[in-house]
Amino acid sequence: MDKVVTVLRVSLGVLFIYASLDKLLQPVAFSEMIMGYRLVPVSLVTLAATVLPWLELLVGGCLIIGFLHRSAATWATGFGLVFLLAKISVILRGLDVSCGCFSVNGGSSITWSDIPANLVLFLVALVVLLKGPDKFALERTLVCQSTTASQ
Amino acid sequence: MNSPRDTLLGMVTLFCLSLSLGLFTRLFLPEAPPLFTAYHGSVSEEVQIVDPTGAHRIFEEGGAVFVDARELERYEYEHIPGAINLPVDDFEEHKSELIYLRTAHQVVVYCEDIQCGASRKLLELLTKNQVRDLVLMPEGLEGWVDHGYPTLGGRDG
Repeated sequence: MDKVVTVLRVSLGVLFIYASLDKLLQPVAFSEMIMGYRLVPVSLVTLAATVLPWLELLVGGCLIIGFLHRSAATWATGFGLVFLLAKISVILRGLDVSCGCFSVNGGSSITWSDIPANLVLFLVALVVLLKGPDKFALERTLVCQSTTASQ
Repeated sequence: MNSPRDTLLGMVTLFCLSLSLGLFTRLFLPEAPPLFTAYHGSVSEEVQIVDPTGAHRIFEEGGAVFVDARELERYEYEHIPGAINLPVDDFEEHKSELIYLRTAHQVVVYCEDIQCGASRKLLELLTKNQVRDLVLMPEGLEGWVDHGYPTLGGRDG
């Protein structure tokens, strides 16, 4: 089971890093993407576009190496839930918005067919959070080493 | 690192680090929009941005063409008097309107509200098609109505 959790944790981390790259390179286009969702107050759109890609990148990095595991996994679960609810909200309000999940340059509009993938992302993040750091996580290795050293 | 307090502390650390990195990288972005002001999208510097009051002044002076970038249904329901409909998604079908717009003294573009992207997309297309003297009213029809300015259709019947 530990290996499965490791694979899920690392895959989730890679996904988060991949998702952050285009947003980091094109902050203005990402701002417009956030604006299209009509969920964030206009005066906070730029701030959100400034912080979110870096947070995704750091969360992804922490998940891959298994450092600050619970904090990163909590952020990942929160992101998963917020993205899921945001997409459902966009569909229910009939807005013509492209996802912007991995690329900020257009793409097809959000539909119900996008929801299962987001649901899976949320569930994977939740599993990683609930299972805690696996034996391959850096955090666990550090704890083991400090325990051994104190004995 | 397993207590809720440690988890929260880690989350705050990640957030603060992200904020710092984000603010630092903004220093190297010449086109970075202001952090806390209303965001008007990546419109060209040649485009004049006006609030509903400014747009109404242009409206009163006459000579400007108002362009509604929303879908036909929304335009038919309510629009600024005299505005023409140029839905951004059907731009190619409305290219004949460009000849008219190129001769206009000013072209004021609007869509639904400050968060809709249609007016900014339309401005890009109009700029590419040599329409000059473009004006953006970011607050859109909602801002116009909130200021009590006249409309055709909609709430006024």
